[in-house]
Amino acid sequence: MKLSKLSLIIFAVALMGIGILSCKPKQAETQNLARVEYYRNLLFSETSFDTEKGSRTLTPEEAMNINSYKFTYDSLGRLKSVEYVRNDVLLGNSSLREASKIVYDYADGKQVKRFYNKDNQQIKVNGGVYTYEYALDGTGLRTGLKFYDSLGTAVENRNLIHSYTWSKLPDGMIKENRYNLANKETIMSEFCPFYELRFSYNDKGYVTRMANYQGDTLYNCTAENCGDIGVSYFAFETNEYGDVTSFSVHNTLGRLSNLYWGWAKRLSTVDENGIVVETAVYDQDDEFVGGKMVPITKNVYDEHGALVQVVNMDKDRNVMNNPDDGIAYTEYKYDEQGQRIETLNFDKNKVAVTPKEDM
Amino acid sequence: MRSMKKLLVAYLVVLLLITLFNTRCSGDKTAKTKTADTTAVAKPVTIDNETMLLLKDLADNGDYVNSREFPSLIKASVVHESLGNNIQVIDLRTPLLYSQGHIKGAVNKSFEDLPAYFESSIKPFELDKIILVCEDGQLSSYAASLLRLIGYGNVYAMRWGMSAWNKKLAEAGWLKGISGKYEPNLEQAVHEKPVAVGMPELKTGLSSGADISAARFKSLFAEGTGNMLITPDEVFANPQQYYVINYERKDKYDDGHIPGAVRYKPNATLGLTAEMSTIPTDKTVVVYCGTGHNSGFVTAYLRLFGYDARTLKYGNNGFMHDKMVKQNVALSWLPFSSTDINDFPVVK
Repeated sequence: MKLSKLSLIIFAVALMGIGILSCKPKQAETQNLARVEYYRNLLFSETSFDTEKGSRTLTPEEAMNINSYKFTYDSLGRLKSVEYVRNDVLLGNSSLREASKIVYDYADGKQVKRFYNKDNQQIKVNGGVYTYEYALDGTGLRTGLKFYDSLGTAVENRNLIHSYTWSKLPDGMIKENRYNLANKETIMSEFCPFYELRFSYNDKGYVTRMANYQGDTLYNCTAENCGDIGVSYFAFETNEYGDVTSFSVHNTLGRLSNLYWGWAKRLSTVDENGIVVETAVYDQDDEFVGGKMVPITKNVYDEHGALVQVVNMDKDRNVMNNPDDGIAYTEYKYDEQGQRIETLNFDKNKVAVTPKEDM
Repeated sequence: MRSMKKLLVAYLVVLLLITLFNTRCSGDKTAKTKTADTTAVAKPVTIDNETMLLLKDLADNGDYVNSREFPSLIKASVVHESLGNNIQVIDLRTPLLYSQGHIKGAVNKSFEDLPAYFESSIKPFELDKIILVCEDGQLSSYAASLLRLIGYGNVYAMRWGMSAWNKKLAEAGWLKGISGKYEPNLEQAVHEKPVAVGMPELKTGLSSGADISAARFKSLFAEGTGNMLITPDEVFANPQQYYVINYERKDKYDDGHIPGAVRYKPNATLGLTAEMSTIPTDKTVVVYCGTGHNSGFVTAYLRLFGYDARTLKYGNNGFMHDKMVKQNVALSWLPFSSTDINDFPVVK
């Protein structure tokens, strides 16, 4: 009996041991999903449907000296935050639009996004929006978005949009619709008066097309001053890393069509780090833009990957003064941490120019 | 001896390569020199001081012609939706046509009366929109352009004029004006801009941009619109008599234009002395586009600078409408059609 009791205890302890041992790998697996990743750049996005994605990985050591996007994931592998940093110090002038940091919280099929400046203070973005509240489906896919102010009151953004809905179509395209506070379907912006949009992505998840749909057909939007032959879709070309190398605007037949801003195509040259070093801008005649627009801009970066100079050039790559403000060179100065502290403007003869807004 | 031969062959090969290289280089140099020579032929153009002051005045005041608001057109459907709101419709047609039926709330003013009406009768800046209407949208485009250039940033021309309001009015306007009469006369040859000759001298005798601007506007409103428009019959009778400006997309120009027409790029011509000084100052300038609206806006600007500019009535629609309809899908022409005509009421 004693022996059998002892056997039972030994058996129980052994079982517990096995249980503990078998648990260990699972705990380890969960912990593995929490991680921090650093990237040089953020991937281009044309819709709030996209979750932030980085391009060109950096090691933590490299990120100490290079401006980078720090992605933090929680134990379930969900994106918790994206910060624009160098040496873990938040920096201004990020590609996160007005913010230096975004933070995600998750609850009950919702993903809440908040925005912070370089001083780590929560800020309003997009014309007064304090929080973005996404609805997620069972797979974590975004199906909707609503905007709220700091009191939790529903608000519209600067384009008079309160909410979005998204669904994945059988052909893989993402359908996007937008609504105002009155729940009336509304346009993307006054400059791009498109209602329903459909986004196509390639097998790497990079966006390839944003199409303007009406009644399940490509739709030419010919609102006044929005492309005299209509705008039906935007086409995007990316390299193998997802860097956008071409952004063009077309009518239903594929012909180039000017956007409200007077250009129809932008070609970007990226360096080995995915940084845009030159942008060439074309009009609907597939000719370099002229008039009061600058056809080519060249960007120069320092060893930290910070933009230090923008040069305006004509179609023959001669330095030119921007016809609108007389500026040929814009130079940015940074402090030791990497915060932008000064912006200087010069004409093509290197004579200082005061920008119009400062006059 | 063998090694000597090898050395000689190697020497000859190197010599040949150097010669070939030099030949190519010198060829390039010649081409560049030629270009430089061509540039040298185009003597620097001197622009009259008054013109420069006027250009600066307009640029400092919003540079309307290079803004996204240019040309400021509005659809009849939007005007109809806005009736009863804080807008003012100004009907530029004759008192007779106005009395036969006009948009509710519209006032009837002549082109010549517009400055006084804006200065004394209304508070333009308190209105959301001021909409000019005429028979076909071209006179109102011309007037809207001038008023915008003066600084009235809420003025619009109604696209297609009263022809877009209802069918009865369209029958007397655009439906009567569209034609394919001169399609066989079109040409596809590309005509380059001539060498810059400068811009007209304004000769106002004034020394400030604002004063010159005011004098020019006063003069243009006083002149009226009698010679602002030109018909396709007049132009096709002798196209060489005019300097014809095609103000359109390149593919549309390439597909067929008025004989001798030179294309000037929308968004890259007005306000730019390098472009504007290629327009002859000793010839009547005919500006045309698809519908005559954009050209109406451009004509106002050119006349402000002293060019004898006219707008081609109905634009492409006035002489190649059939072709526009046939190629509407392929080239996205804007042929006037029944879909542009609404069924809105008029009052008497």
